This record gives sequence, C-alpha cells and structure tokens, in this order.
Amino acid sequence: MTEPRDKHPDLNELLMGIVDEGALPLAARRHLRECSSCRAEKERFEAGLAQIGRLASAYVPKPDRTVSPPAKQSITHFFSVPLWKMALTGALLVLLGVPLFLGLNSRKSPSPPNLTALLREMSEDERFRGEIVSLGQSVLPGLFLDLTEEPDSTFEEGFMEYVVPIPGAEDVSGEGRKGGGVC
Amino acid sequence: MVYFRLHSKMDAEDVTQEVFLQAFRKLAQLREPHHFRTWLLRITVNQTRDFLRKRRLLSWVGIGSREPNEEPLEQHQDHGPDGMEVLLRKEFWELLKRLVGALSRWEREVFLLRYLDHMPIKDIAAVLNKSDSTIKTHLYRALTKVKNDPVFLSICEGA
Repeated sequence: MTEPRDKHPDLNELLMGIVDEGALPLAARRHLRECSSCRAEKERFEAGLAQIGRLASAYVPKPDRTVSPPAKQSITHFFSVPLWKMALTGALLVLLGVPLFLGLNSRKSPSPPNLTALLREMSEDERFRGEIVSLGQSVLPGLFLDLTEEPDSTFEEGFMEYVVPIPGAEDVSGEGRKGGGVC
Repeated sequence: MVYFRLHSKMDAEDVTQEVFLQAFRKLAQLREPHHFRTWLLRITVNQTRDFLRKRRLLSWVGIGSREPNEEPLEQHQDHGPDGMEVLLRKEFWELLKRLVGALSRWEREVFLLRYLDHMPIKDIAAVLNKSDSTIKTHLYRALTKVKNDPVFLSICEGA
C-alpha cells in the first residue's frame, strides 16, 4: 500500500528528511523526490542553514597570531648545550656538593664510646633489676611463698603420689592401687 | 570553530593556541592517525568548553566580567573592511548568538558542528562521543526550534 501522491509531508517530516533522509518512510522519500513544491521547501530550508555556515565562515575575523609548535626536545638537545656551560655547571656542582657531603658525613660519624660511662650505666641497670626482683618477692604473702617453694619440704612424697598418681607406677611395682586418687 | 562559540577573537586565538599545544604534546597518544581530524576537533570542543566554564566561573565570582560580545568594534577593522561590512558582521554574530541561544547545550553544539563547521553526523558523533542516533535527535530538536525563529527566517529570505 502506497501513500497518495498528493499528501505532502509536514514541516517536521521535512526536517527529519534534512537530518537524515534515510529515516523517512519510503513513501515520504518518494514524495520528496517527485513533489517539486516539497522539494523546494526542503531546499529552501537547507539553503538557509547553508547560508548561516557561509556567513559564519566569511565573518570570522582573520587570526593575528600564528601558532607554532614548541621546539622539539630530544636527546640531542642536551648535547647542543655549549661545552663551557656544561663545564661551569659541573664545577659549581662540585663546589657546592663537596662541602655539603663532608658536612653530612661529619655529622653522621659516631663519637668513640666512653667506656667508663658505659660500665657505670650497666651497673646501674643491674642494680635496678635487683630492686625489681626483691620488690616482687617481698610483696608476695608468706603462704604463697611456701606454696611456690619445693613441695618436698612440706609434704611427704607418698602423700603427693596419692594426690597426683604417676601413671604406670603400679605396673612397675605389681601392686594394685588401693586408694585410686582423690575422686 | 572556536570563534563561533566564544565570539571573541582574542579568546579564540588563546584557545586555538592551547588546542594545538595540547595536540602537539599528546600526539604520541593518537593510536589511529586517520582519525586525526576528529581527535583534533574533540580537543577543540573540550578546550572551548573548559574555557567557557572558566569564564563563567570567573564572571560569577566577579573577577572577570567581560562578556564575549563586549569586544570593541575597532578590533574588527584590522583587515580594513568598510563600515557597512563591520556593521553587517557585528549584526550577524548578534543574530546568530540569539538564534543558538534558544537551544539547549547539546542542541547548540550539534547545530554548530553540523552547519557552521560543516561536519557530517558520523564525525559529530565521534567528536562528542555519542551515538549517531543521539546526534540526529539533538539536531532534529534544534531544527524544530530554529524553523520558526524570525532570525532564521530572515536569513532564509536573504539566501
């Protein structure tokens, strides 16, 4: 089914044709090709747009300034520096660098150790440690000190064996255990 | 192209210089040499946009209040046109500014690239990093706004 030939596309369709003629329906495209008035309308619109572009190009002021690219910097640029400049720079670096290097080195080197002071400091440390140990012992209550001492001095060995049985002891002796522990 | 957006010869020259300097510096990053034109135009669009943004910001804080059309008329006489041409030129830029001033940002950008910079849709899409259909939509909307504008109608009559 084709569109009737006398149906002219409206202005919006014409604009669509200006933007992208391929987006128009086939009938509208055919109509634009065949209808002289529609074609003239479209061309008039396009001519107006083209006129804007022409006037803009014509009325742009000519540039006064020319843009030139910066000089190419390459490795040869370094070697293009005159020799006397390089020598002068090197000499200045040496003059500034050597005292700086020496100054830093002298600051960094450690002074010889003072042996007397070192021994005195060690003996002070030793005394301080002793004070800490004696303070810890005196602070603890007497009962605690008894418990932490050797158990043999307070409890008999048989009692301790009864409280804490040694596994395998009865096998060695060949006797059955009578007590069986605390529990 | 830059002047179409800035309407100031001096600013346009500054931005153009910056565009070429940036292009020169980043030339090594261009992977496909046959896209050079699009690449350069993208730099131009971005630089121009940045410049306009800075100018607007400076104008807002009150540091620079110079409007683009405040350029003295004598500057247009550098190349010796007669008085009538100077007036016509000035009038044209004022009309064009009014014409594209009614468009949204993207409509204006697409319109300028299409009809003042004479770029095809595909290139505009590449420059603005958008799809062809988006560009066509913006252009269509721009034309629907422009079609009944008295400025445009007067230009059409003169064509």
